[in-house]
Amino acid sequence: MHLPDEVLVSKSKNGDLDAFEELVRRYEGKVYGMAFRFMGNHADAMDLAQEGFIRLYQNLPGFRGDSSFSTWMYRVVANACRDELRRRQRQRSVSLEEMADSAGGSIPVPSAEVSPEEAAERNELQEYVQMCLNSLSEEHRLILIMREIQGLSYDEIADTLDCSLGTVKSRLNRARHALKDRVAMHRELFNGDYRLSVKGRA
Amino acid sequence: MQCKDVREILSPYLDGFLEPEEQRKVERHLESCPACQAQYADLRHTVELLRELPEVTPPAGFRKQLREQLEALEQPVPVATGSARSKGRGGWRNWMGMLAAAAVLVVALGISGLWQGSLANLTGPGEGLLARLFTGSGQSDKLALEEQVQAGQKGHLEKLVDRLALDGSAPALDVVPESMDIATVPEGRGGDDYARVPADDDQTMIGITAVGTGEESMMGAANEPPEVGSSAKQLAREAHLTLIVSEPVQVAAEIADLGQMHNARVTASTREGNVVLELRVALDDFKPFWQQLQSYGKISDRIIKDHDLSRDIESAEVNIQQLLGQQKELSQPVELEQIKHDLLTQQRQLDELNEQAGTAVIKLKLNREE
Repeated sequence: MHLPDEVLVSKSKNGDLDAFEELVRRYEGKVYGMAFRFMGNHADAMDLAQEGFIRLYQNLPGFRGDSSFSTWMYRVVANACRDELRRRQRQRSVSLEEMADSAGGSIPVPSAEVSPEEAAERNELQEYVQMCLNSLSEEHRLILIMREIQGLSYDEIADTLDCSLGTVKSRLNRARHALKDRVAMHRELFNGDYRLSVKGRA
Repeated sequence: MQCKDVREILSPYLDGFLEPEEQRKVERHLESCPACQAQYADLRHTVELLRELPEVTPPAGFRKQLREQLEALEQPVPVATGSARSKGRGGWRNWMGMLAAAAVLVVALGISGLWQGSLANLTGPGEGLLARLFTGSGQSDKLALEEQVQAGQKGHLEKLVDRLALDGSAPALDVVPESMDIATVPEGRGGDDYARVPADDDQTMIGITAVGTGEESMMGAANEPPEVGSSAKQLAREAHLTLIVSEPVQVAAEIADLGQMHNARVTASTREGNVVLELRVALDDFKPFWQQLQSYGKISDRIIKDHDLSRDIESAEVNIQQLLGQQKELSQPVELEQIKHDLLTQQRQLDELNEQAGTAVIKLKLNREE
């Protein structure tokens, strides 16, 4: 059955779990991907991704169709990530990553064992980038995921994170620079020889 | 422009998010500054790396686990066995007395709900509520008695009502032992902050009503133990839904069509451009209908109340038997006349109860968007 998203959404609103499951099938790669990029491991990603889909299902009555389903979905998932972030921040008084980040990145990227050449051969470039991501603060990780992976606009990010546009600009700036500094330890990654995916650079 | 200033805004520059003035400044700086050029190139590559990160396939069992959780949400909450006690022990006698007096009022106001009949005899806020409900005085849509919910109960009840509103197939509200775990909707869910909706209400705003008359409480005192050994439940459901729509009359027409498909009896009235509908469906048909209704507009109020009529029905039947017994022993015409009148009244009430049992009445308000 290949029905358009809108029809599946409409059916799901009526409690059709099969229709909703089809939606899940279509988007689980993206949703789980976000969750995984944010949490850094599969166990936590499972929980977060499921939370995201459950929220989606429960919020269906509120989805009016004024935005596309995928945009709306990203925002719900981003909210789940943000709530998880806040939960963790409450539990921790000081985050090591945050300290390191503000001090200029003294947490080393664990790149010593794997050279980029080996990583490319073993198709582990993605893991390398993920490792770099993991070494960022959660705040930086989240905003990078929202911007680069979910493709949310500055406005949408400000709205979700409940902060000003100016904060989004500066935080995104710092996050990107932070990631760049880590990844740039291996310049070779930038010369275009290495591909993360079969599709290559856009 | 200094290098460090440029570095601060390289990111919005990348996204094209700078004012044209600033953008030109950065461009000019980049033309002549190799260090910043390199920074910018690195930044662009980093962003590209991120954007190229592939989707991640979830591990096996992900969808199955999710499905199980969703199905668990759809199940009604298992409730402690025992019929709902909507009245205190021995309270039905009081109820009977009130009912006789209320019968005239019931007929006069054309109210079909018997529990509303008992409301008729409340003094104080309850009476005001009745007046508001049935004279259409244009009061606020939320049933006004929600203010009477005792503060101590509210958090607990809110969770239950929230839970009920999700699947619409809830058991009687008035069986809520304190110890029951109903946390199927943990804190933080429910979508009340997933997107900044301009209005001040969120979609899970639920009004809670309680009839505060001391021993009689429709919501049930939480410390009242549920009765053991239930008879077959004879439920009557009362559901209220308020939707904000742009064209109430048009939506009402659509809903009337929808109602027909669900074998619902629909009546409607308009008031100041807003429409109030009353839809009666069999309890078995309630759930899909209820869910579909909610997609017709923005939900601003949503309440479901169940009333277990089995005790009332039982009482009515017992009364009829008693009256019949008495009738045999009377001879005076005046007394006989009185008994006949009582029997008729009681029979009519029993008929109404039976009609309500297994039925859901949905009071749907369609309010025009402001």
